[in-house]
Formats: sequence, structure tokens, C-alpha cells
Amino acid sequence: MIAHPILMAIGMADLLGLGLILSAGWIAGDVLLHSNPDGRDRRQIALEARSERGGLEARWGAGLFAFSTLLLVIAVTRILPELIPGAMCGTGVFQAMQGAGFRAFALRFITLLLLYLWHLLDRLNRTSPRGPLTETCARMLLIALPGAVLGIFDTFKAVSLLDLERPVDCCAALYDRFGNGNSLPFWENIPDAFWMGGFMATGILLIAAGIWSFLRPGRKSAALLAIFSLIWPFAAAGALIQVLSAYHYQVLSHPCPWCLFLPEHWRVGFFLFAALLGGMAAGTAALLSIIVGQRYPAIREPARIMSRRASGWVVLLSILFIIGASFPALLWRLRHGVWIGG
Amino acid sequence: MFYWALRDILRRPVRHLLMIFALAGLMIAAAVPLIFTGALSAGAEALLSDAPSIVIRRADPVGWRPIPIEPGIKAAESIVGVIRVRARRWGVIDGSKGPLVVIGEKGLSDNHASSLPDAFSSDLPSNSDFRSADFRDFSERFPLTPETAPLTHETVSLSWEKAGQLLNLPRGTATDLGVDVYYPQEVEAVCRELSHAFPWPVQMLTHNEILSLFRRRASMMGSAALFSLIPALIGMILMVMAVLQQQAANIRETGLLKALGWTARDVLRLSFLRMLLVIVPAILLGAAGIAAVFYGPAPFRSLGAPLGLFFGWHGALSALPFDAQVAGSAFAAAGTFILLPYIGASLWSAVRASAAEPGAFIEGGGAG
Amino acid sequence: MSEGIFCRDLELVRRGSRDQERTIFTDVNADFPAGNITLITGPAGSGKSSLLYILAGLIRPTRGEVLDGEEAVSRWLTPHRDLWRKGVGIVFQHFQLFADLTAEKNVMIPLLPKKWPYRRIRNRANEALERLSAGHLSQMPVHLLSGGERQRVAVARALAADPAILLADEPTAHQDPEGMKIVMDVFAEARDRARVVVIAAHDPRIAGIADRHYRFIDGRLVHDRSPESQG
Repeated sequence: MIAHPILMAIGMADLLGLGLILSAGWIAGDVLLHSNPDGRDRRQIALEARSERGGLEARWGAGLFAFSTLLLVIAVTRILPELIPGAMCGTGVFQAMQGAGFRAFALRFITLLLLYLWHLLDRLNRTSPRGPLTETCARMLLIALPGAVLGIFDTFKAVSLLDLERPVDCCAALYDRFGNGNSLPFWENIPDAFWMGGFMATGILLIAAGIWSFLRPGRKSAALLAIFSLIWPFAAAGALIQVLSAYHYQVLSHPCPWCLFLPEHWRVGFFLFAALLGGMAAGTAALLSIIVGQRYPAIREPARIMSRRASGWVVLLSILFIIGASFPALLWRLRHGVWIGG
Repeated sequence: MFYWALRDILRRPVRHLLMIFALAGLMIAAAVPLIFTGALSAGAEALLSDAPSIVIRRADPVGWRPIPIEPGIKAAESIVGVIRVRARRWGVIDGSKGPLVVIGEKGLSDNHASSLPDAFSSDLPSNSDFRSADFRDFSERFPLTPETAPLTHETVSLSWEKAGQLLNLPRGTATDLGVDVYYPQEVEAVCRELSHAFPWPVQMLTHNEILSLFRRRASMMGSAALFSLIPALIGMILMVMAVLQQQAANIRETGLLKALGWTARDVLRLSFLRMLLVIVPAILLGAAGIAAVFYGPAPFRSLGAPLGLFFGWHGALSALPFDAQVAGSAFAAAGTFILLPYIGASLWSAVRASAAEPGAFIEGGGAG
Repeated sequence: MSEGIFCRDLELVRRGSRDQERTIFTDVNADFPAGNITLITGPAGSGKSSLLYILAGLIRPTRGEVLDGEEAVSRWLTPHRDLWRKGVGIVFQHFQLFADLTAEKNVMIPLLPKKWPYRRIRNRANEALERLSAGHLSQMPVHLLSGGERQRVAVARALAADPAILLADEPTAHQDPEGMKIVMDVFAEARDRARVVVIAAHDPRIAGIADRHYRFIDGRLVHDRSPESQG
């Protein structure tokens, strides 16, 4: 365990956020079990008031959870590598966290996506005075809740495993994977051309679907956009790490995503991965808005506007990602007349 | 709305002024160890920029032993990839005021005119021919970059012979050997070769290992210094409680504003502006205080003297050169640590009040 | 349904410590149409003020709902109720003024979120004070004013934003006959402009201008249709 203010801030934000989300989850359970929007009896009127309070708690809880996740990313990419012997970037920090770190990150980002979708539903719900989506919101919050609990638990576990005395070998963790060809994960064997082909093809299709959904928001266009926005991050992250990162690092090959967060590489990782995750969330949001808008006439128009706005975001973020990820490669090609690796 | 927020602050000027000073003071208390840790790391990097790639020391089961210069250099130079080998004499002497690092220099005459830092003048060996004038302030002697100040301000240089005498090094021996290699990437390979080249057991440290040792030491001391934050933490908790209490007093006003047609968003905007009017001066004051403690004149720097408890030096802090990244990140971390609970406490009360039934806060909710 | 405020099956129960409960009123069904002054009377503690609070959206009933036209505004989500409340002006029984502010600034408060230029807000506040013959009190701190003057400032504040619904709790309790006339003229003017006006009062002088009269009897609101109670 390392006593650093940022880790204390993460702990504080996590505990506070978890308390609020759990309290909101309790109310959400009550809403699902007992809500009767047509009634005007004592229980229903009290439940409506509590449900509003629960929504407020969940909003603050989700905000704190997002904030602590951002702090965790900053800690892993910028602060902890300086403290852990042998760590040069997040790869070394994850090595020191012994698996709990990866689980914590994965759970946190899945939970953030679910909380974002809850937030979207909640916003739509609040566009109509009677809140027609109250029960749907409660359901979504209960889906996100286990992820928040486990993600925070794994974060505490991962942070407690950090040790200033036990050195790690940052690059060995990365290159050991290449030492023994048999143990390589399948994606390491995919040729660069396939990564780049997949990246460009899904990118073009995603942008096209985004423009379609922006101009004509509907179930078909939004569904297509959502599908591509879920495929695209994997293709784009693969191409970035396996192929394009070499141009950012100016070396033949260094498939490390975490070095992109270092100051010597302009901390471009923050921007690129935020664009990827943001695009994925916005694409899913575009479809969800359309579906609930069609089911609940009271919120149809705000849902349509929200879906359109989300589609616009997908297009913007994917274009920004393509520019940010491939600019160093284009610059290299212009300067040297060849691609790295021939 | 801004005018209204300002008027609200001026309704209780003393309380808000105290809050500004409390926040600024807590930020300074939290930022000082962080900045100093960062400065130590930056200093180590600057100091070691010209250091040898590998440092070799002779070791046996009893401990460190002086290394014979001539056979040592010959053995090291026999390895391919080694371009230069230097013998070095240095060590730590215990003084009543703490340890003093002594470095032997070949270029210095035995009786050059300079002085030992005042704090150590009483630490000279009593029955020897050492005089204060033999010692020379290391940082004054060498044109080092200013970043090294925190690491060199208790280091002095002596002539090669007198250093050997003071450190009990027999004639023809040194503390260690500094080895430069042609390709820094080959350090690991050269180390393996060197380990077999000497007739005595040796231990080696590479440049990167030394640098990471410095960094770890700095961060460990920084972590220890964070215990100095305990009073700051208590202060922060008290402050948050005070804010919550103050907000509870404001809650009637919030209810009333809502009853008069303000939305929750209007109330939040007012609270946000009110909070900004407190934290912006607190941030400015905190930044000015931190700048004075680290980069200002000596009387201000002496405020940082308690840090010596954790970092092991005496007297006022050496003036540090301004490093925007070190200062910026420490200030941001301290700001987050201190201001976040304050912002949370301020806004949370406002949110709670603005989301609640406004009638509950007025006249007991219309009891009649 | 016509324009106005309508109560359906309203009940208010107050909870004290140790699960103590007190039913303030129950089964309240009442109509407060626009273009009418409705008077609510009843003994102290019968629930007049509480009903006004519920009508203003300041507290939720424990059962039932308040309709504005056909919309159950008492069950709306808070941000929508906040926006709806912008159309409600309320005069509190104990005024609820900011004692350290001047009369003018107190009247300006409901107008501040409107994002109007400061001068316009100030002019509007002074106009409201003039209508209550309190223009000369504009720059006086409220704590220096008499009870009657404060009450007129409170009425001016309720009127400043020209609300569609005007609720007043004992608005003439501190007025002399001249002050009473000024305040009643203002309410009559609001009625003539098709506003919903609801007054809770003991003051028998108000009955003269009321179009409808409800009376609290044993926790129930009864529509008083006797000729002497109608204005």
C-alpha cells in the first residue's frame, strides 16, 4: 500500500460514491417492487418522493465513481510508475497489481457504460413531468450496481498489492509475450494489414451509420450505429496498439497502450482512449434513446433529439480518433517516404 | 446572480475570510511534502546526468572495503565496451548535527581557503590537523544546475589526500570506481563481464538503479512526510463540518428562494458562485504561500524547516528553482485533496436543500 | 377541465418523533377557478396554511393530488414543479423576508433568475412596491419596518413576477383599514386579470370580496355556499 494523496482521494471518492449508489439501489428495488403510477395512495406518493431522492443520490454517486475512475487512470499512468521500482508506465503498475488491477479497470469501465446509460434514461425521464421511465431507470441502476461494488472492491485490492520495495519489470511484461510464440494471444498473430483494414473499414462504416442516424434518427439507423460503435473500439484499439503506436513511439514495434499516456508522447492516450470509449457510449445511447422514445410517447421528441445528438458525437469522436491515431504515421510517411517496417 | 452571491459572502465577511485562510493553509500543508519529493527526484536526475554508467564497490562478508585503485582500473578497462574508469573517494561522517557527505577531489590543494557550512563547524575531528578552511561547499565548488540544491546542500569537498585521511582510506585505494560505457544499452551485459574481472568480490550499481533508488527514497520520505498531513486532515474534517453547519443555517434561505420561484438550478448556480468566491482567493493565497515557502526569500523558506524531520537536513530549505511540472502537479494534487471535500460539502448541502420540499424549511412547513 | 387549481382526495399527515402521527386534514376536494378569489377559513391549526403550501407546491400531500387544469402538478418531478412554481406568488403568514436586505431587494428576489438587466428587475420591483403604496420604503432595511409595512412588502414580492396563481396567508392581519383596502384592491385586480387567487384568513373583512368560500371543519374542507359568505 502506498500512501499518496491521489490514492486517498480515489478511496474517499469511491467510498462516498458507493454509499450513494447503494442507497439509490435500495430505493430502486423498492420502486420496482411497489410502484403503481396510476395510484395516488400514501405509499405511492411517498415512493415518488423517495424515487426522486434516489435519482439524485445515484447521479452524485455515478459522478463520484466517474471522477475516481479518472483519478485512477491518472494515478496508473502518471503517478504510480514513478513510485513503483521498475515501472515505466501503466504496464508495470498493472504487473504490480497482480491481475486485480485489470479486473478493476474492466469492471469500472463496464459499470461506467451502464451508469452512463442509466444517466441517459434518467435525463430522458426528467424531460417529462411525470417521469414515465422511473421503473426503467430503477432496473438499469440495479444492473449497474454489482459492477460498481466489485469494481471498487477490486480497486482496493489492487491498490493494497502495490509495494514500493518489490520491483517489477515493465518492458519484460510486454516483451515476454513475444519470447515464446506458442503462448501469444491470437490477436498478436494477426497481420498488421488486417488490423489497418479492419480499422479503416469499421471506421468508414461507423461514420456512415452515424451520419445516417444523425440525418434520419430511427430504429434501423440507430441499431446499425450501435453495432458498429461496439465493434469499432476493438478494431481501432487493436490497430492503434499493434500498428500505429510504433509511429507515436518512433520505434519499430512497441505494442504498449500505456506509454501513450506518458508526457513524452503528449499524453495522447487520454484523448484517444476517451474518444474510443465516448464513441462506444454515445453509439449505444443513440439506440437506447430511440427505443425508449418509441415506447413512451411522452418523451418521443426529447429522445429523438438525444439520439441525434449522440449520433453526432459518434461521428465527431471517431473522426478525431482517426486523426489523432494516424497523424504521426502520415507524418512519418511524408518525411521518410516509407512506412515503419517497410 | 454574481452580485447576489458576492452580497451573500459579504453578509458574513469574517467567517468567509477565515475559511479562505484555512483552505489556503491546508493546501500549503498538503503541497509542501509533495513538491519537495518531486524536487528531490528532479535533483537526482540533474545530479546523475553526468554520473558514471556503473559504480563498482568492493565488498566482503564484513562490509564495504576500500578498492585498490590501480588493479581495479586495470581490471575494469580490460572489458570491451568500457571507455573510462574513475576512482572516487567519498563518504559520510557523523556530526553532532547529522551526517555530512565528504567528497575527495584531486584538483584541490590541501590548504585551499574556504569554509565548512556553519552548522558543521563543530564536527571536525578533534585530534587531527583538519581546519574548517579545508572544507569547501560542494555546490559552490561545482557549477551544478540549481535543481540539485536539495541533494547537495550538506555535501562538502576536500582534497583527495585529506578526504582519504578523514574517511580512513589507505593510500592507493578509493571508495569506489566509476565506469563509463560506450553504449548505455549495453550496461547490463558489461556488468555481467565486470563481475568476473576483479580478483575480489564486488557489487555493482547501474545509473538507472541509482536513479530509481533516489526516486524510491524520495517517495518513501514523501510518504512519511504525508503523516504531517494528519493535522491537515483533522483541519479539513473540521472545516467540512463547519461548512455543513453553515449550510444548514442557509437551508431556510434556500427553501425560501425556491418558494419564491427559484429552480434547483438557480439555487445551485448561486451556491456555485458563492463557493467560487471562496475557493478562488484560497487557491491564489495557497499558491502564493507555496511559492514563498519554496522559492521565496530565506525567512519564508524557514517555514519549511519541519520537513527536515522527514528528509534529514537542518535549517531553512534551500531555495528551489521553479519547476512548473513538479509545482503544478503537487499543487493540483493538494488542491484536489483539500478543495474537493470543501466543494463537495458546499454543493451537497445546496443540492440536498434544492431537491427537498422547500416548504419543509419554512415555518415548519406551514404548520397552521 | 377549466382553468384553475383543483384538489383531489388530498390528505396531509405530519409525523413527529417515535412514529407519532397527526392528520391535519383528509379527503380534501376543492376547486379554485381562475378569475375568482377563494377564501379559506377555519380555526388555528386546522390546516389552512398547509393547504396553501400544498397548492404552491412547497410540500407534497401524503395522499391525493393537486391539478393545474388537467395536470397533476403535485406529483411532478422537482425540476418541473420548480418551473411551474415560477407562476405562483405566495404571501407567507410571517412574511419570510430577508431582514438584512432593503424592501426593494426583497421584492427583487423572485425576479433575479429571469436574466433580465438589473435595471429592469429594479424597476419592476419598485413598480410592485408602488402598487402597494410602499414605494417610499424601497431603500429601507426590512428590519426597520413596521408589521403592516413588512406585510405590504411581502405582498409586493408575491406580485412582482405577475404570477398566474396568487396565494396569501393572512395577508391583512397587520393592516389598518387603509392598508387593508390597498391590499384587497391588489387582489381584486389580480382576479380581474383572470388569476387564481386563494386567501387563507381569519379576517372577516376579506369575506366581502371573496367569490367562493371554503371552511375547515374537523380536518375536512367544506364548501360554504351560504349567501353571507359569498362576496
